[in-house]
Amino acid sequence: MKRFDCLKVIESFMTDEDIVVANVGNTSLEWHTIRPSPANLYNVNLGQCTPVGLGLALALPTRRVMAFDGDGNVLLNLASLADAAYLRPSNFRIIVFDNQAYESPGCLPTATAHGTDLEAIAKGAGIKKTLTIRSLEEFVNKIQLVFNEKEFCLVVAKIETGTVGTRPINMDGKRNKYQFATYIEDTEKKPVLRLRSQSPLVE
Amino acid sequence: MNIESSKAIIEGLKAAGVDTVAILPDHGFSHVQKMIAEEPGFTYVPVSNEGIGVGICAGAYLGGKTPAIIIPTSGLLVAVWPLASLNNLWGIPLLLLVPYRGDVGDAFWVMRTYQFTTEPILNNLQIPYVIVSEIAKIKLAIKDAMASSFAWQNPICLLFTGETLR
Repeated sequence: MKRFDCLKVIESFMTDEDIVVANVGNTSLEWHTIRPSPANLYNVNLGQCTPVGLGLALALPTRRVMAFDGDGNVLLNLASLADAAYLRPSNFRIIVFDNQAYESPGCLPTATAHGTDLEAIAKGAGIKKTLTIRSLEEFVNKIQLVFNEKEFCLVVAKIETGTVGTRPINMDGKRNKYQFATYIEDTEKKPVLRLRSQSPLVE
Repeated sequence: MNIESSKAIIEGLKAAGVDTVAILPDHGFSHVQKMIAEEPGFTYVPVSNEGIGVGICAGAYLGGKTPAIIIPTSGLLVAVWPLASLNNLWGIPLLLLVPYRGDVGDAFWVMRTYQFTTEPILNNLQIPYVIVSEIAKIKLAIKDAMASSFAWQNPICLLFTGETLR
């Protein structure tokens, strides 16, 4: 099962309002290729994809928020699964693309290549709804159902290493932030950036 | 931290419009943390490590909330990675409230490390900070820090010491 094919399946049932927080590396490039959108945050660094998604899900309860995480990313910050389980916003979905490798820096194995079971860890952390998917057929059959339920869940997708031809992301974090924040301001009709036109000292 | 300081912090957070508070329990801030957990005006977000709290606050900010994080002095060390890779790199505001354990007068050998880590780390992360040592100055310090954090799109830290901690 390839990550790119999984992402295409997810895109097929998503709405324009769905927010995606994608981890650093090929996941972001592939997602940008499939669904370029101001509702995406790209290249969120190691261990922070799930916390940032969690914060967004808590702040925007009427939106579905998806964290596209990776095995290396999650392993760096396993405690975030416990906090997500405790806070469990019903609009939050985590999908961990587990290729058992640190793919971007050269494919050295992660702990999941040696037996670590991320779904078992998620269950142990207290996440009630979890699933491991091992084939594209199963992914097609199950992912929409799982993601459409009104319950926080975590899916581990066991994927191959490797990527496809992707389009570059012409954005750094700051540009991504301004684009995303402006999009939220426009669609939610509420201030996000809260920049000022004058110092309070001279108002 | 005494009750008077704790009440001033709550008043400051309210005056600054803070609505979301990530917390990792700390002896120095136990009154404040309990008050925040019980105050309906705040979304109370308990976290298992300070780095997670920083990440959650970044997401909350991007969703239009006004977050603050209340963490132990030691927790600033734990939070360095997301403060560098998220807040510094993306320009994400955040109000950090930290007791300045290890300040001169905090005469306990366990706290000594923080004398040599706290301010240098904030400087290296390009996080402006204010040392608050008087209870009467707490409320305005919080309000000013939050305003500057948004205006500069950068975290601001308040370090509490002196009579505010006693």
